[in-house]
Amino acid sequence: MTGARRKLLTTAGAWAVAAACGVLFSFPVLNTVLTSLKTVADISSTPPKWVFAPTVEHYANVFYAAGYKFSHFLANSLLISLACSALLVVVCLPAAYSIVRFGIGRARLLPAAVSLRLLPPVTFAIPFFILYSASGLLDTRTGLVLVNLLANIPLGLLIFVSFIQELPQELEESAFLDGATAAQALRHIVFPLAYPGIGAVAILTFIWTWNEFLFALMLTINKATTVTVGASLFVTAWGVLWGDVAAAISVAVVPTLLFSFFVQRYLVRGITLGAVR
Amino acid sequence: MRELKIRGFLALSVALTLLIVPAQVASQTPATIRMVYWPGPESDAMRKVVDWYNANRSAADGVKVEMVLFSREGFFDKEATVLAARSPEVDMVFTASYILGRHAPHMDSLEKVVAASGEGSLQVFLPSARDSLSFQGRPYAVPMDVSNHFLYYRSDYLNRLLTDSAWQRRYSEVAQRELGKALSPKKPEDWSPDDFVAAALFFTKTINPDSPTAFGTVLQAKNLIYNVMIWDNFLYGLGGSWFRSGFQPALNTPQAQKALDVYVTIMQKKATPAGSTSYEYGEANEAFRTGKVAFMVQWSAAFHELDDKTKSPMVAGNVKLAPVPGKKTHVHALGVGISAYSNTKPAVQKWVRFLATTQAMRMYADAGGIPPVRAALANPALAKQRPEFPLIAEHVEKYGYVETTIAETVPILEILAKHLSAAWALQVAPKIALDQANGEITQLLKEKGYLK
Amino acid sequence: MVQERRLGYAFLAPLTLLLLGLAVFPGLYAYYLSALDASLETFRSPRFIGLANYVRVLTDREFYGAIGFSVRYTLIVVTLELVLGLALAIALNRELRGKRVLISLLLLPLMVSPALLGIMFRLTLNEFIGTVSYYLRAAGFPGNLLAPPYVPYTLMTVDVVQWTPFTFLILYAGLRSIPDEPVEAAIVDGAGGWQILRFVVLPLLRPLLLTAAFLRGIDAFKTFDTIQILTAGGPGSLTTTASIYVYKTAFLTGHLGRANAAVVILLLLLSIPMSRAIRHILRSTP
Repeated sequence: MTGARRKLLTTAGAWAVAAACGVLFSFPVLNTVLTSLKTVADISSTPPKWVFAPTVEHYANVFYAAGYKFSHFLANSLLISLACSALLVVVCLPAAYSIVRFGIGRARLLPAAVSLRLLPPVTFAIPFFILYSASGLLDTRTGLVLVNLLANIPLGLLIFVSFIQELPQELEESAFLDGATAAQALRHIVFPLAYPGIGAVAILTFIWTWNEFLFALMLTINKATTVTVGASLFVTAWGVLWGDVAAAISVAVVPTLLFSFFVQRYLVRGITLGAVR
Repeated sequence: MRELKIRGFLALSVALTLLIVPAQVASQTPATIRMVYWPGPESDAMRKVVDWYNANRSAADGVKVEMVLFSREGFFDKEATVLAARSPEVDMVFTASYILGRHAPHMDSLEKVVAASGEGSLQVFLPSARDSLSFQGRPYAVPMDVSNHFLYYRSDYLNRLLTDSAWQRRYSEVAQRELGKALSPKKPEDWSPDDFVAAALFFTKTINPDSPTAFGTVLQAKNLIYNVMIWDNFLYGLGGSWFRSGFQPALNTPQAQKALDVYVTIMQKKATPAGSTSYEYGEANEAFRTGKVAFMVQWSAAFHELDDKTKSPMVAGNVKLAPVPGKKTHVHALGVGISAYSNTKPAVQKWVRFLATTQAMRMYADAGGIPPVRAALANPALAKQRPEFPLIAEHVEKYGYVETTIAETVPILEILAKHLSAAWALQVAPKIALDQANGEITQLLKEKGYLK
Repeated sequence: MVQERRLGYAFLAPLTLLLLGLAVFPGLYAYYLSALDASLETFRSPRFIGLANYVRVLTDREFYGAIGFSVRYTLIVVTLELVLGLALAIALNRELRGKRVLISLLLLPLMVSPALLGIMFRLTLNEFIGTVSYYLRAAGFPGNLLAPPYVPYTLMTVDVVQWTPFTFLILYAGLRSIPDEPVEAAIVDGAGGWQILRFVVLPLLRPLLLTAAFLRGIDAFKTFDTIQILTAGGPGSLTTTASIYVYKTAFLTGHLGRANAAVVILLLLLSIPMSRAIRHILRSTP
């Protein structure tokens, strides 16, 4: 077997594995999209219908039901998630740099920050509610940005620390010799080199914030309600309105899908590291 | 280029931070009151009443009502958090008989708020519903919806059982063989829990190959407090109860054992779908709607959906209602009351007095609510669209019971859900489950000072 | 360099402020409540009862049951998710046609909230109208995946389907930033694919592998939404996770104090793997 042929085969194999997993993993979501287009009778028909006359009634319910402000929920989620994902990078990247290169905060601050992830959110809803009521953050988008920021700091810190410590130090050292400050080194050298890490963190934080349910439920009344909580309003005491929930999910997936599609370009290497060695 | 990207990135973050800040504006005018509701047919109905009030009465009363929906998942948890934090964000609390004991310490009693009698008083409502929203003898909420259980059955199959002699012979055979009891078919209206079990076996294909349905019935056996309420009917129908005299738990009695055996036998004989251990209201409806079962004990709200030709084409027209075997039905009411932490109490009180009128309740019933008001439920014009409404009024009055409205109702339901669901799933022997539940409830009530 | 260090402190300032401003009060509040007989009704007038809550939790058989279930669940799903995620990251770490679409497809399950996907799984796994159940039954498998004895495995499968994309994304980003030279050098030395993976790629990827394992491990241990919606921890306490235990103690049985005692105990328990993970993620010297 020639090298070229072998390479072609591995590529085909890799593609097949990824495609198979992609279809398998995305089945629940694709099935949800199908459900959103079925009538109530079609949803509970058995055997499952793959070919059916699609209906938009559920989408109409989602967007136009009386007193139900779905577009407002969408806008809230979008602003909160974008802000959270950008702010997380701004807060965590310099902190991780400082931890790795100067060793500041390694011993106490890092474990303290990471331990935020250990807390089960259920019981913390009450102290947060009290804190937010007292400070006017209750039912505001700012409040939700802050609490999601807190929940994702461990992820941001750990991923950035892992990335930065793999970067060659020589580049920064020569920059320092040339009189650059740490801030300049961070901006001109570390930031571009850490693109894949930033991309991953931005995508994961955006998705996490978009999907977060418990704090979004507990810390809003009606102004800052997010799309995830909004979609759950189609769950009633008398059963789930499957079609409506499915339609709300299907709409809510689009912004996350677009965001991760565009941010994916940062998952490629910044510059070739070998150039300086 | 890269420089530009970084600048852009920073600028974007700053811009977004600024963008989210103005979300905190919009102050409330003093006359706006905020009422919490949960999503579903109840809030759809209430929205119509609120809209009417805001359009026609707001100006005169100087009150504007804003209804906010809290998600059904975690609804009472969120409300508990709002109340525990003493938040004035919510003026009217949505409550239910089973959780009133937890809310009442954070609410104002309605005693002095409503009129003493007639319109604008709580006398508009059925007494059992009114009592189910009272705590330590004082009313705390206006009853808005009443919930009870019925035996839902397929009249096409059950009628045939009463006329077809081959089926009747088979029925007695099955009862003798599987249960060791001499039983013959009866009208569903006259069933005892024993008849319920025997009929469930008769309509199960693996036991009776001629059965038109795969399973006799469908049990809701998920670990949920609402499923305990359904099981309670068998407990009370067989002469049992949660408590003996005072608050002495009575879950280790022969009656409780017998009630649990109803479920366990049906599970063991596979007369309910295998997945029942994860079933609740919706799943049971699906089983009934797809023609898999012949009858079930279900909440009153299901009739409207199951007898609807577009939503349930396979069964609509053949769905009939009977009392739960044993002739007892759990009753609870949903209602709204005044938060003790409200800043706009005079306005809230006006709205409460409006709700306690036949006019408001008729409007609510017409919009799809199930208010415990005789004049609304027995309204002949409405009974044409909702034939179950007069039956609900009748059953609530004749067969209804309320377990208790003490603060520990939910904890007790939770203990029962945990242990009973293990027994229903055949993971734990019935006797052990009941003893453990009885023990835990005793301990709880001792800690809280109900028992010595 | 002194000046650089000073800037280093400035770099940590926003993080420190966030932690002080938002995390300290709720954190301390948990310890405070854990020493009181606080319930949802007596929230503001509780009695101090010392360590009684801790004793109650530590003598509760169900608490250990919940921890046991969470530990088993975590070990199984995290192992599967790491292996699958790594395999996918390696498969996609090359030029492929339609790669961005493929990656988006792979990330799709992450994009729906676990709380909402849990609701949709109630439909997909429904015995009578669920798509998955229908085809499983047609293929001769049981259709009641949410009943014992299948239910723990069903929940784990749902977790793996939903969270493998998470480990995949982190590891893929890691692979993309591995420099070419060590790999090329290994090829020149005549190393095969497995050898390169074992001796060159994996050591370079180690901090990120640990990061992914740690984050997923913690989150899997805390799993709440999906299981609460699908089984509510039942039947009995069969699928009760640590978070569901805490939730039920706080909001259903209403013992806020006891729930917070359980949280503190869990926190201490989890801080052991956490400090070990951090130590291993950090390379020895700065």
